[in-house]
Amino acid sequence: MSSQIYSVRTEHLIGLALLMGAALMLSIAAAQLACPFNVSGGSGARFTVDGVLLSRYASTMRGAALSNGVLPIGGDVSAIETTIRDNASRLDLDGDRLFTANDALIAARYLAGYDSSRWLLGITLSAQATRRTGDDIRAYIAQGCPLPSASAQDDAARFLTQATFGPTIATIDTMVNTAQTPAQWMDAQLALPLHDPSHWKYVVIDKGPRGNSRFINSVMESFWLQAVRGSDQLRQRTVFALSQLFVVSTVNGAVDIQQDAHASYLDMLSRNAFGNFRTLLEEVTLHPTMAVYLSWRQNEKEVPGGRQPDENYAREVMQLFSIGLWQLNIDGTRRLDPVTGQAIPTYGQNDIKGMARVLTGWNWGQVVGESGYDPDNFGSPPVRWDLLLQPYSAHHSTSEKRLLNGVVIAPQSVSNPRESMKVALDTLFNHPNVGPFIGSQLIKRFVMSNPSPEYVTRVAKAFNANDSDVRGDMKAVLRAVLLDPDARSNSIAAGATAGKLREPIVRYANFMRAFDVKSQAPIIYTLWNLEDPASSLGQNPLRSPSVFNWYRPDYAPPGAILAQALVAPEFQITHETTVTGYSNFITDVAERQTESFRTIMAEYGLIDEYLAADVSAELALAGDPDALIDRLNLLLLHGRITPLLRATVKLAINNIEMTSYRGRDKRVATATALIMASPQFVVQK
Amino acid sequence: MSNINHHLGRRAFLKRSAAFSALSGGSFLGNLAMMNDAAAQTASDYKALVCVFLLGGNDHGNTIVPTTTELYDAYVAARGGVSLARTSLLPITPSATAIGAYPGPTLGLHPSFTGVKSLFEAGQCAIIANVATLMQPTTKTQYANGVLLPAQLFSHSDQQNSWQTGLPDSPSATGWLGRAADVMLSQNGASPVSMCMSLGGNNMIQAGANVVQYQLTNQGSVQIKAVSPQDGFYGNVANAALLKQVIEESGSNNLFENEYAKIIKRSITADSAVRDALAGVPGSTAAFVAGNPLAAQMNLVARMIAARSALGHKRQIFYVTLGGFDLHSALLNDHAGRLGFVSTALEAFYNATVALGVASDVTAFTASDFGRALLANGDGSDHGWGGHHFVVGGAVKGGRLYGRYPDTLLGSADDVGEGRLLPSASVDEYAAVLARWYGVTDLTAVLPHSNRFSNYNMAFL
Repeated sequence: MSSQIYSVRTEHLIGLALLMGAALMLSIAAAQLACPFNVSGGSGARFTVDGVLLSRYASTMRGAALSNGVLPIGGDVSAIETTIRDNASRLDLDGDRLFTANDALIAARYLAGYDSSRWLLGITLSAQATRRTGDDIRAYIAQGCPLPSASAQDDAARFLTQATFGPTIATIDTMVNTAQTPAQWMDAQLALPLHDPSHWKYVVIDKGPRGNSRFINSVMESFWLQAVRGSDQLRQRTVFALSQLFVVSTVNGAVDIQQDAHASYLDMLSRNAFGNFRTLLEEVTLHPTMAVYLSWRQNEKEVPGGRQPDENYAREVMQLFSIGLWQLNIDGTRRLDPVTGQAIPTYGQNDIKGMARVLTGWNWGQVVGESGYDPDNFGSPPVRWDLLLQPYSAHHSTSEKRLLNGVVIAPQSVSNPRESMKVALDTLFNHPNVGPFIGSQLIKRFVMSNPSPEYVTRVAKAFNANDSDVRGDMKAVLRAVLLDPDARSNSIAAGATAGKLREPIVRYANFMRAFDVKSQAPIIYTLWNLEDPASSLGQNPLRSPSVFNWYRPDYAPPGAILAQALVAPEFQITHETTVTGYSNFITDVAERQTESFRTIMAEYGLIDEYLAADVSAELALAGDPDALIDRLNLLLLHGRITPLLRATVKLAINNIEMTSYRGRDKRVATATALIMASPQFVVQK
Repeated sequence: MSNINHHLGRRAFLKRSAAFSALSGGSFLGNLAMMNDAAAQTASDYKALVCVFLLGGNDHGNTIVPTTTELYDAYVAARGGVSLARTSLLPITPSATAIGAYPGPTLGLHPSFTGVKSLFEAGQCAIIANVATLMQPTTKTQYANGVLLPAQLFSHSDQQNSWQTGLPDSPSATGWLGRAADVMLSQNGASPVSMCMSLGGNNMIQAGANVVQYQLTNQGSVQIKAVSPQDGFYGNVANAALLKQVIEESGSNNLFENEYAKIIKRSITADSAVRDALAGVPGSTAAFVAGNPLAAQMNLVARMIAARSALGHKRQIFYVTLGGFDLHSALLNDHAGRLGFVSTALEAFYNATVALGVASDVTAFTASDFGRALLANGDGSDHGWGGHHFVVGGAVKGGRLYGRYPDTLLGSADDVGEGRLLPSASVDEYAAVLARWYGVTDLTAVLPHSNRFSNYNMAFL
């Protein structure tokens, strides 16, 4: 532990020693009081034990120094340290958002039975203290020392953290100043048109703002442009979530260098993000990028006793894109066989064979009337990444297709691939698993890793029927995910198992939005590779390692999380290397995107693509550490910085002289990087 | 006495060092050999296991092909355009095992497997035939009736998990290499670096109840620059200490924050130990061919083995991976590339262990999600079950085939449909031999199901 976290004023220690000399053995009846003064865990909070412990802790004593003469030898002093640490926010009696020797002295005087008129004698309150009289503090104690309630700003920032690629001061202010509720914000977002330019326009037609963006890099540029700058933030975040459900990836030889394919696919997800899941499932299935990625384009009907239709997509469309492996209750838990008590698989190998036959006889889409159109040319029609696949009837399996749940497509006397596809996708879409299976995964992408069964149930019900009794309405599902009481609750967010690890891509997007990171005109995000786990994010858009995404929704890291039967998907890519890579990355970008670096880059003539943050508002606060921390706390932690982190960041800011070389820049960068590297930021709550 | 021997040993060491630098200019293998001399003075009873996981499900059908006329013709009939020409196959002749002469058909290895073939013929590589997840010895009839089968056969994620946990029917918090590491943990004393080291990301197989796996890059460990007391955080040394404190201690009650902080702390602690230990070990070398992602990982594994003394390791378990085996399409071309990587990486790695003088103390073995169907789907193959695997090392009783080579005819007693093999050996049997060699005596602690199997012809170590 640092010995410098809390500033200590020696006169308070002297005062405390005098009080202790009085040796009052007064124990306070804690009948209706719930303030966490009883840090020793004794029969009640006592001045001679808890008052001393608090004062010593505030003066940075730890271990034996903390407990000497107060606890029996061998008592668990580390548990007391943890208790005080965890309750520091509530023990902040003067309301300056720090637990300091002032707070400890006031607590000791309170526990010693002093009248509140004497609690503040000799104490100089900090400028940030919000409870400045004994009466104020007495009232706070009488309420049981509640956590400070979130401000409207904090609530807006927290909602925007979940629903967008990150809050900005402007988006927070809009919500607060117009008294917009999250539901109203969603209504407005759901009504917004598609982003212009589309990915296809950016990548294929315009080739970027300068007309020279090329290769797969151009899709990365377009992804970041929309994610960081799009005003349709709900759609952007939804598309990112969907892209982790319906995964295609450039980590695959067939679609690794096809920028047209990925631009078209992202546009397809965008236009279906607020539509109906049935259409989404169909367009995912028939999109050529998926069909090539999971190798079902141009699949031939079976040869009896010989070549069989490819089962790749047939399996994954069930396992990953619609119903999952196990039959589910509506709350997302597995159904159990009433006789055997075992979980029940949703499908078997025979169902996959049936589905594989459905997925035969489809190839590149063609536009009737265009030259080259030939419905009989299954062998090599022209490549069209912008069109959904179309059927070539002669190559479609006409034999019986057994699907799950007893659905059978009878042998077709006339080959009818569209009818086969319709029956198959309807069967999947109407399976009772889809609501809880897709719903729980969307909750995990937006809000928390371990939703309650009730939360999942509410989202699944919204999937099963919107207000007009329509199944699969994505708007209803998204509202259910983001407006649910469990999502909005600040008390749930404070729980020990709350929240989720922010995806590394989202962490960086948060940074870029908070500080309006952009290049000089024309605005272009030349972020082509953020994949290196040792120096970067270890996660790059479009580059999931396989169709199983970067992480499985049920992944749990071995250890405390797995032991509690909880999941934490994003921990699958979180290990010694990637935490180091991210820490290095964020300290680098926080520094490189400051004003003085921009000047340096300009001197070297490297300015046009250089991504620079606009931290002018933060630089203006560099001389006022508390105000600077307040702003960063709102933008990055939706107002929930812990007293410990606040104290540490403040100390670090003050360790840099304003007048030193690049002092203001370094103050802002240091505070930003400290917060963004902290576990508190990395876990979104 | 020990003083004199030590003295002589050191003189010989220095002399040889000089000779090496003079003659070879410090070749990697030569330098590794010197490292080993240094290590041998303190380390004894050293052993390492290296799991080479082939992600996506290796197509065993083209990895080992039966070459008798009847079986080869049937193979071509099933595979059509994705079959390998008989003349391109590398013929191998398995020697007799303890239970007798090899009874199966003549075999050929994939043409990319030149390195594996030479290891096999030199007796340092064994083939384990038709192994995969099983709950118990299982017949085709039992399979058809769904009697006690691993959960979610043919699914990537589930079968990877079952291979790695060794418990195909139930969720498990640990994997069998992790449990083996738990048993052997005391061997490594108070080493700050975990016995279980991964270059393939977080995995289940190395998850132990006590052992926490540690992630490396191909270059070794990585350093959080801004916590460096030398360089400081943006040049500020006091702030470097504050940053370290912020990221190592969450200061929170949140489980995920605490887990994240724990990983950071482990990373910082292990990094300095690994950096120090690797400082004296030569870096990457041409022996591990550039552009081969598996070889790049095994290069680092060889370096960590060379550094075992400095790390305080008497037991090491490594996990390396190669992706790209889920070849539903483009099988012929892509599989050749993948297997080429496997073959050259295994051969280079074996040679490195020879140079280090630990060839008999290091055993590498392959594993994969599952085998694949024999029947082609066009230009690829679909998910299957049983598959063939390879074990490489000086302790391996190589040049032999263990388990039972399956009847590859479609519809045979070994075929559960489209040439998906019903495994004749279980992961438990395969793993049991490796775990026992590693030093585990109580197998049930590591492989709770191992006593369900007969260990038929599996004494490959």
